[in-house]
Amino acid sequence: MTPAGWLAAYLGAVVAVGFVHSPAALAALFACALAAAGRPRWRLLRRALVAVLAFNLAVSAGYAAVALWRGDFAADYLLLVNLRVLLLVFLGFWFVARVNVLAAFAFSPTLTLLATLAVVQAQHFARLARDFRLAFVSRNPAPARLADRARHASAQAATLLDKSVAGAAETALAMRSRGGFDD
Amino acid sequence: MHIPDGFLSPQTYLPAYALAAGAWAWAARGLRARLDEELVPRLAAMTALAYGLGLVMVPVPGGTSGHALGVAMLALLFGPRLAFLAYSLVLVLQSLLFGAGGITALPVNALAMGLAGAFAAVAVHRALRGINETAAVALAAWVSVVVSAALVALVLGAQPLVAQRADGTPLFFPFGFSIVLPAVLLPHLAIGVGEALLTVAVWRFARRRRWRAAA
Amino acid sequence: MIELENVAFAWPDAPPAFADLTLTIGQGEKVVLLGANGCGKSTLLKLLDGLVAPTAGAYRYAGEAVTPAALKARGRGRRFRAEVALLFQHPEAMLFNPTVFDEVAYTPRRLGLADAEERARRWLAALDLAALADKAPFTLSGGEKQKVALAAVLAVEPRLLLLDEPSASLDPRTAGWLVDLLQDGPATVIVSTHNLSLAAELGERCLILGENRRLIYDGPVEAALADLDLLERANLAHRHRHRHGGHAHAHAHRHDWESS
Repeated sequence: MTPAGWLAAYLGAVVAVGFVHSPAALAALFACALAAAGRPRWRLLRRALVAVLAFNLAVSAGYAAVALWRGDFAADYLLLVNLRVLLLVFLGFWFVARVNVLAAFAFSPTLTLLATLAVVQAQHFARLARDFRLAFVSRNPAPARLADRARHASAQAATLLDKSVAGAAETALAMRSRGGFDD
Repeated sequence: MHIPDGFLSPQTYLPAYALAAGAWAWAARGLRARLDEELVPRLAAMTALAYGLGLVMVPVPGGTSGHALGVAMLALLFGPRLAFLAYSLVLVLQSLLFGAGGITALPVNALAMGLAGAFAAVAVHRALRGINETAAVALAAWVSVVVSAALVALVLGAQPLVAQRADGTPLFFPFGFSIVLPAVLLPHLAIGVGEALLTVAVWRFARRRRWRAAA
Repeated sequence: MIELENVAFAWPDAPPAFADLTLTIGQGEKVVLLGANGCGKSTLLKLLDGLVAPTAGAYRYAGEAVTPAALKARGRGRRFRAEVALLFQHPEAMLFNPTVFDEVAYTPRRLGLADAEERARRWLAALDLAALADKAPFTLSGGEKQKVALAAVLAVEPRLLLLDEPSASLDPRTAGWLVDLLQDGPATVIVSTHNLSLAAELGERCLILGENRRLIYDGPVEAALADLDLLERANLAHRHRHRHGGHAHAHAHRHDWESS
């Protein structure tokens, strides 16, 4: 199957799962997905669990508290919603691990180019943001004050802005020099 | 406001996708003719920027930090259309490439934060800049955070109304407006203050650098 | 002073940056850390600065285990930050204060040192930055930013100084001044670089991280720099052909290049 085909299959599966309201059926679908995912299944499952843990715990605990107080608690619902969230997030991670997503955008060359350029810069920015954070820790012998944190955050934002403006100009020149858009 | 897949009903996100598709087409209209070596890198850089700004921790009084939106900053500096497109692309990349962020929440987030947030910021700024530039920028950022949060909270809070079993048990997100609105809005009133301070600082920086502000 | 025991580290969702590092560094040693780009030099320095925790093994500084969690203990983190300073590879990551002077005085002030201002003035003068004291750091050129970041680190007057590619954008005069300063000072110094001629001037002892993400050499600098096979294995030297009047032959070369 082509990457674009996988993308369509993934999107179809996501919508279909949204219409299944039986925990038993969702569990069966989950078992199928786990079986089909092959060797990386447990790694993917662990990542999916970690990704949804905070939000789902908060919502589940909140629901349990409110529903018990109101007297309409349904364990069935908790099972349903947690299973569905986990299944959908698992499908997402599986799709991302299985398919080169940039290739799935191949139906639009402009979108592919745009996404590739953006991803390269986004990764660069992520590294830069990490360095900023670590340098701040390194230079602070005690927890920093609010004013320092504010100044640090705005210096970081300004550096990112500066770099993206410069980066855009630089990429434009590089593309022109390599004959991009010369139709 | 990271909503995992599975909490929004298809009855919500399918129409939201239709609406977002219209908005994307509108925002890209006119840009399409200029999709050249000038605009593609600019949009890509802005997308990366929107992503990077999301990694900057907003200082909030009390010590905890929430995540920056950065949409107001992008909208004031580069215009709401470009901000909306860049922010939408970030959401696409986050959900499809980095595996972070739901594909079903995407249109809601794009419309609430990217579109409504950007236009709220620009509208407030235009209305108030004649009075006091700094206050206009700060208020624009604060309003854009609060408007985005309120819209997302409304969509979440509507879930029990949109889809539930015959016996009244929810099928998707379980809480109604009375719980979601205060739970989401109250923290964002404070996050909005952090965002406002940050936006003012960066706005001044951009002015010193003589970047062309959005008309 | 520094003990690493089978230390490994990997960023989340990434292959290991390095593994199986075991070494000790004594008080006052001047160590050069060599390795090709992407061999984990910067990451190792961040680990030594207590910014990331080893994913396996143990790191002890002055006999005490160092991890970000251990440094949260009150007093402990303060003491560690007063004794250990890291110059980041990209100086932008360190600059966020309104003026160059505030930038250099930042950590000494946070440490509550009575002579914080005096220290800032002294190190600004030492690095020829006095004229820039009132400027905003982000308006400076790349080389000036690097010098400001360096002054900010030196003003801590640490016992352990970690420098990540300090010569990348330093002018030759400042680089020479830095070499003298480091050699004459009492501080333990660990400098990462892939500039071999700087390595020769700077350190006595040399650590080489190989492309297999392990320590492939630990010994005197001179011996390492004379061993072209070793340098070639570490991707610090390369082999290419020469022509001399119609005769072609191939041999390994050291190259003293820089990159950011």
